[in-house]
Amino acid sequence: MIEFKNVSVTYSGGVKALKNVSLEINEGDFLIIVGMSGAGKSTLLRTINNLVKPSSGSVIVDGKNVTEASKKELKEIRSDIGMIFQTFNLVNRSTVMKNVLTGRLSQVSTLRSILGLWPNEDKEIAFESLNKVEILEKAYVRASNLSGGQQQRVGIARALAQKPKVMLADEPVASLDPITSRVVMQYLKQINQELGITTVVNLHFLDLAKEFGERLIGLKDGELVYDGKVHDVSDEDFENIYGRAIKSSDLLGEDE
Amino acid sequence: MNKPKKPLPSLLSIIGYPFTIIFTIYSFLQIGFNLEDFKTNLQNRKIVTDPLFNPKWSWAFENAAQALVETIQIAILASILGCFIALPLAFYASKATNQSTITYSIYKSFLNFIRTIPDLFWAMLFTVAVGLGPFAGVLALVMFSMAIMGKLLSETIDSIDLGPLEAAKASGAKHNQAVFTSALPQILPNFTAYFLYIFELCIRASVILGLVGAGGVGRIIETQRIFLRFDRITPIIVLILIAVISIEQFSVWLRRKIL
Repeated sequence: MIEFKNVSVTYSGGVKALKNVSLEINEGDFLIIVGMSGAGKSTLLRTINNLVKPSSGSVIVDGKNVTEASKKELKEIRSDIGMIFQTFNLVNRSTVMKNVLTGRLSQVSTLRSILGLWPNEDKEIAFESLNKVEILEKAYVRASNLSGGQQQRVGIARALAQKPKVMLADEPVASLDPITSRVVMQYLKQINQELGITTVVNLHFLDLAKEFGERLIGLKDGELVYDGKVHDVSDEDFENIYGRAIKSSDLLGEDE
Repeated sequence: MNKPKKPLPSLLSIIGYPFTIIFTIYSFLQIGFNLEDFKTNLQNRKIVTDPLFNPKWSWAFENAAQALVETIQIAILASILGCFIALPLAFYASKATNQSTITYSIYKSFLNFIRTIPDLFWAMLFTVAVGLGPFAGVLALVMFSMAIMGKLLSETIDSIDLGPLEAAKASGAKHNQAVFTSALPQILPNFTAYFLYIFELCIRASVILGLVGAGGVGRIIETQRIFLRFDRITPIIVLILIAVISIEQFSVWLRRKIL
């Protein structure tokens, strides 16, 4: 489903965020990426929808080369890839519904979206997405009036509204408390299992990775240093990925 | 005890203070600042002060009220037009919503250029272009309000939260769609507040537009001043004062409600 071919990313400051990463992610995978902050997790995720352009190598999603796609092709590819952000990235002043409809933008004309003349079909999809993360009753509430966990569920609903084939989650629980974090992870997992959407999640917390992940990838200084089943991963592997002993801050805690 | 050395006064203050004092005195002399003139004027009070304090109210109501209304109309029309033209321009003149360095610089310099030209100069320009009258005044203040709104708003757009824009782009939205749904709602309260502020500026600016023949109550003040009819000018000024203050107070109240 997603293929990395010798992908390297060097930022304009000269920082090498990714070094020659090759990787294959299968359809329906629930993949978790762990690593220290600055290890290149975010960069790796963003090369999948070309929010970050690789300096060399290429990324292929669903048979389409993302790296070499034209602007128009890129928009089409992106419409199949949902994304969830650490800081939710909702328009705080707009209603939940308007935020979720953002996920449908690629399917309607500019004029329609500007005038807010959404086809009923798109509104229906937005409602369904909200229902999926059980927050339908908040549809006409301003996003800023929701709690962090609720906002992230709206973030998930917005991504779901795209009817995506791939779901990217960039540190989706880093701004949330432990209990809410598990709720959000459960929704992601459930969506992956019920709808078969290939899901890639960046996580900082090791226990959360073990709890929810199937396949786990470790990044260290932009290099792929671990790739395997979550069940097989040992504390030594984690220490290798982090380059140091595991600290309590690497764990979310309050395990069920 | 090792006390730190007191730092020397900065070069700027060594040069700055004496320069300011010398320049001020020089300007006094150069401009001919002279309190004697006041005294002379007070002695000539038959011409100036006496009529100023004996206003002809009925004349003003009959002849200036309509022009004052025209002044306010010019201000309303111009601030609405100018601000709404500036709305899209501001998005092009902000780095947050325009990635092209070339068009960004063009829009930014265009707005800056318009802003450097005083409103009275625009008024003179448009009286030549479209003839004397309120239409020239409206066009002048459209330029005036467009430039201010363009600057204030583009700087507000510079500091918006880029997260929602990125989210919209990541979902495959077109640039304009992303800007409209994710950036515009963030700046709407500022836009409304700036609009009211610019409307206040326009009300004040429109009063003097008539001096160069661009419509409104300024024209009447100018003609009466030429004929030294200060008894007619006083009530007009009082009327303007009342109108401007009440409109401003209303606008200030509204702005506070919005932000």
